[in-house]
Amino acid sequence: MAASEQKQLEFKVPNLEGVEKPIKNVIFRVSRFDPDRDREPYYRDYEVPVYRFTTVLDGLLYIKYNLDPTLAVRYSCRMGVCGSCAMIVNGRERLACKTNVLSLNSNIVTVRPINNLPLIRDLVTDLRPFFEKHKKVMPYIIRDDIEAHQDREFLQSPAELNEYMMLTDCIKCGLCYSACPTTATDALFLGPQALAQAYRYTIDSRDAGAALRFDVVDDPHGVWRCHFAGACSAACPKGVDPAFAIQQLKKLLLYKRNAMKSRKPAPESEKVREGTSVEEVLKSMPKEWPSPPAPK
Amino acid sequence: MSAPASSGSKFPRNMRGVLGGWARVSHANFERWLYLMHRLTGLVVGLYLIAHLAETSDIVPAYLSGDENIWNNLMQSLYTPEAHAGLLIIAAFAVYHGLNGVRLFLAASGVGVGRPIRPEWPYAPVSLRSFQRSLGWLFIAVTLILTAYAFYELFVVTHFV
Repeated sequence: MAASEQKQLEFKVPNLEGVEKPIKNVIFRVSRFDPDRDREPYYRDYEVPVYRFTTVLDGLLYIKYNLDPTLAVRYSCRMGVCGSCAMIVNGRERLACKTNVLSLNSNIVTVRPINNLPLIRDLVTDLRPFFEKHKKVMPYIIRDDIEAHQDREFLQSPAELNEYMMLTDCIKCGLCYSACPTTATDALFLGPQALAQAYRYTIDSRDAGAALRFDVVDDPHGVWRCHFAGACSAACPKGVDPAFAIQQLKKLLLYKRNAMKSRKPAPESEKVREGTSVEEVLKSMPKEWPSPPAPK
Repeated sequence: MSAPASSGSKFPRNMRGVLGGWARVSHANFERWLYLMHRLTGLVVGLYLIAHLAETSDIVPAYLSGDENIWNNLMQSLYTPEAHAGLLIIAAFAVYHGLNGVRLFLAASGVGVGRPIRPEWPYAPVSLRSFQRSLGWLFIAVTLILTAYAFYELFVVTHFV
């Protein structure tokens, strides 16, 4: 083959339709609630121009900047990582920053706060009950020697990693907690997120805290309140599968309770982690940090 | 100022309850429908069991007084197409509730909920596309077949033959 026969590279002009000019106007039907004035949440309509890549969060911020500055909305990263903008869009749990308005195929976009958590204002709910339950299941590695050997790693095979890797993607947005039918009637139920994290740390081969966590989740308001409606997994924006994790947790409680309680956690590596040890870092730390230069 | 005390009375608890939670069907996945039917059938079959106890306890006065007609009259009054239609519903609900209970027991034993995967876009949760979903469809089919058999026994045999 001669070099001249090589095909010329084609340069495709990207399709910019709808990027510079709005495609259509969409009605945003937003749930509003001011605790000082209102007794019940109510809906208000706003007309928002929608471009090709406008997300629901973009629409809400357009309302906040141009139409009604009193709208309260919680958001941070705008790219589906922080989990702050969880809300119910057109009847379904979604992250507002990850939901393209045009993909909803609707001229009316109904936005309301997530369910089953106390409402503070407009689209903002109080996530404290949610995080308290998350704390309750001790979502960290528990073992006696964790303080003593901070300069070594614990050994773990790829197969052992795969057991829980899926569940580490949880961003604690609260969408599964909102979708779950059980949390709708039982305020004491730990919720899909907390139970999934309980399983994630219990099945971790480096962990030896199964007995402590079993005390928390083996409860009428714990793992046994789950009836496998699967709504949590269907709602999760990160592909975490809480329904799977809760069934596995039930399986551990039913068949492997004693084996898990007496399980030896993974041994530590013989190799000292490269770099400086914790003691050396502590020694070399300055007593006082240098203050930044004063502004001119 | 402390953090907003959302436990105060002016902040709605926002709990969706039975109608907005259990019976919420907007964008419901298949398992959620099964869950709702499981709740409904369990409730109805449970109420039927109470009614069934009240009905069959009529045999006690019949036995004590030695008057067989108390029992026979009750059986006669329940031998109608309406009562048999109620029994048909109970049969269908009881079969569904029992079979779906087997599915839930298997799921709680880790059967049919799949193996852990690394999530990749577009996300499809492994537990919602595993064997338990096929089992749900299979049990619905079995329920329909057994309900058809109950219809044959309750109506065709008793009222039309």
